[in-house]
Amino acid sequence: MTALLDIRDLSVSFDTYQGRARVLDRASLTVNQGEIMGLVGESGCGKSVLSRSVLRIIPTPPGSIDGGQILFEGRDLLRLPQGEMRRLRGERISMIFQEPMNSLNPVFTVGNQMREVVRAHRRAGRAEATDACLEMLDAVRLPEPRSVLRAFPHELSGGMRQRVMIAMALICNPALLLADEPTTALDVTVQGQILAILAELAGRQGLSILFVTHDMGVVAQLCHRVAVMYAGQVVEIADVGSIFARPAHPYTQGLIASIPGRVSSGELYAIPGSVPSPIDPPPGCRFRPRCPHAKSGGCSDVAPEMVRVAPDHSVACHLFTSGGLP
Amino acid sequence: MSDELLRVQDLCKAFPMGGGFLEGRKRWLKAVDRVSLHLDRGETLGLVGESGSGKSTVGNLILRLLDADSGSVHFEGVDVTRLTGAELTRARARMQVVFQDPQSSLDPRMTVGTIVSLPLKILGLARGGELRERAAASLAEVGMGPECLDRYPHEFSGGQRQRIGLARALAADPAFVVMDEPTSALDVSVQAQILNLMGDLQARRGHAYLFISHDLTVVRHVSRRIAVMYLGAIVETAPTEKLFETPAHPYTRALLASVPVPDPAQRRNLARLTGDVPSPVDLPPGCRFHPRCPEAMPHCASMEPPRVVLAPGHEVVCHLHNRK
Repeated sequence: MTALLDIRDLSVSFDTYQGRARVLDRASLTVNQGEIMGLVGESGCGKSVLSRSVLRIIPTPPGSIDGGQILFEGRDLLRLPQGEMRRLRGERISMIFQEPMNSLNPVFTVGNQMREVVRAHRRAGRAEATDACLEMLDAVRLPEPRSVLRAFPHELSGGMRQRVMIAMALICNPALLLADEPTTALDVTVQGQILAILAELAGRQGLSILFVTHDMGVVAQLCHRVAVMYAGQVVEIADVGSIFARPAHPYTQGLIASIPGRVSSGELYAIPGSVPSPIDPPPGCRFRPRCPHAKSGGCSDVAPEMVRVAPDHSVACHLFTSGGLP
Repeated sequence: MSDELLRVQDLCKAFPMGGGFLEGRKRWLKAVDRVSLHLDRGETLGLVGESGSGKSTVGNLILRLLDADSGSVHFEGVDVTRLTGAELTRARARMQVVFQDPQSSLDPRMTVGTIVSLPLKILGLARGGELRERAAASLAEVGMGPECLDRYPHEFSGGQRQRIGLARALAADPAFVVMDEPTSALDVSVQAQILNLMGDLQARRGHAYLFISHDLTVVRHVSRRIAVMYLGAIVETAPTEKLFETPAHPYTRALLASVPVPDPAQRRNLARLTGDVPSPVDLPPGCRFHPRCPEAMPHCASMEPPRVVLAPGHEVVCHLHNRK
């Protein structure tokens, strides 16, 4: 299986008043054809920056991409000229965000905005573009697509707006969808509907999805593989079954143990301490100050590299580096 | 029923919509519609519902942060909805609240010490140097040191700010605390810290919680009983395990089935309901859930469903369970 998207050693930093924040530190992951790849982590771990870097939509300055490669269909997106990058956006790679109201223009109708996407990417008359829109709205199971096209965003509910965003993102039939917490703002019954649509699109049309979320429940229900991020680094990648059944990294273990409802009652596991600042991260392993297995010496001196512990399971932790702790 | 702390009876609240110069006829949004619930001393009642279900409004009505249109709230034997002046202040000292967003519920221009001691000052429970002492003691209970007293909210992380909110709520030693989505803005590892802390504090001090949340897994973890709200009304009340094992209302069933279980071995179809929650303005006639209900019957659209007691403590408002 060849990777559709192959992110290698991506480093991104932002200038802040407190100093330069290394928000992504040599992050690597792949997304295969037709696969839903989950990208999980807590707020500030860099998961949104990573997904936005793929489309090169992080603001520069204050941000800057310091190194690495983003290979998409074999081409490095970081070296692509602006014009080609613009053609790619919306046509081969699309993105949906958490708050659909902020992504839609309030003063234009849905139809107006959707047709614009179609006609930006291919020669199409108004009627042809409208037909494409109707077909797509139907695919995301919006009832009465014609009246939706005539509606303004504020006339739609949150769930309907997110479906419009998905329809708009997929109207040019892209190969990759970047989904940045698309169901976080939605109620749970509506979230269920949206997740079902995404799973169906991936299964039926071979769409690949990089699904950014903090919700391990959503990951378990939707994703094929998972990358776990902590403090700007990818610390573990595995298929979804292994992540939940055999989490290798102490952070992943803590993350899963702190989910309520897996044990019926009693104390939840809480990871002690808090996430380090990206401006002055601890040397060596970034999780060391909170890690129950940390040893002085190796963990605080050397940053652990990703090592393979099973065919589709890699982890960056000194517990697994050759010969154990240095 | 000697240890009953709170009894809410037929609470109603409607907000006016429109009626202005350009807005046409005035309409009413029924945020809370004949809600009844009770809470014993030291117990936790979970109140779950989707956005717009009126769960936060119920909390605000009980605390008298909003005035009810009708109904009663008996707290420690006194009807809070009728209290005024000094009596209301006394009752309020016994009931406190922690809000969802610790960013906006803590005054950025006050030090943490001032924030935590403010209820004591307003309620007249302490003065002078004692204020600071009691604030430090309250902070210590939530795991924060006295060095925090002179710092400002922005210097703390979200989880620590929520601890400060909890310290403020507990400073006056209340019998009842409304937790309005206290962990919704927090990451899961921090959420676990706060939920554990809530449990420890309750075990030590014996206060009761009304835990308002949209997150069923969190509510299940903390609550002894759960009330499910839909469009302003409670549709089902049950002991926690009963609700999860034998949910009776079709909405409760759909809600439970929509929760993404954090276990890839238990995958299922999460799309149990179609459509969104309708607007609480101009509620549908009959049962308010019937337009989305997978088990709707013809008379659901015309007749209000009855309240049916299925077992002690397990009540449901639905025609399906009406055996007449």
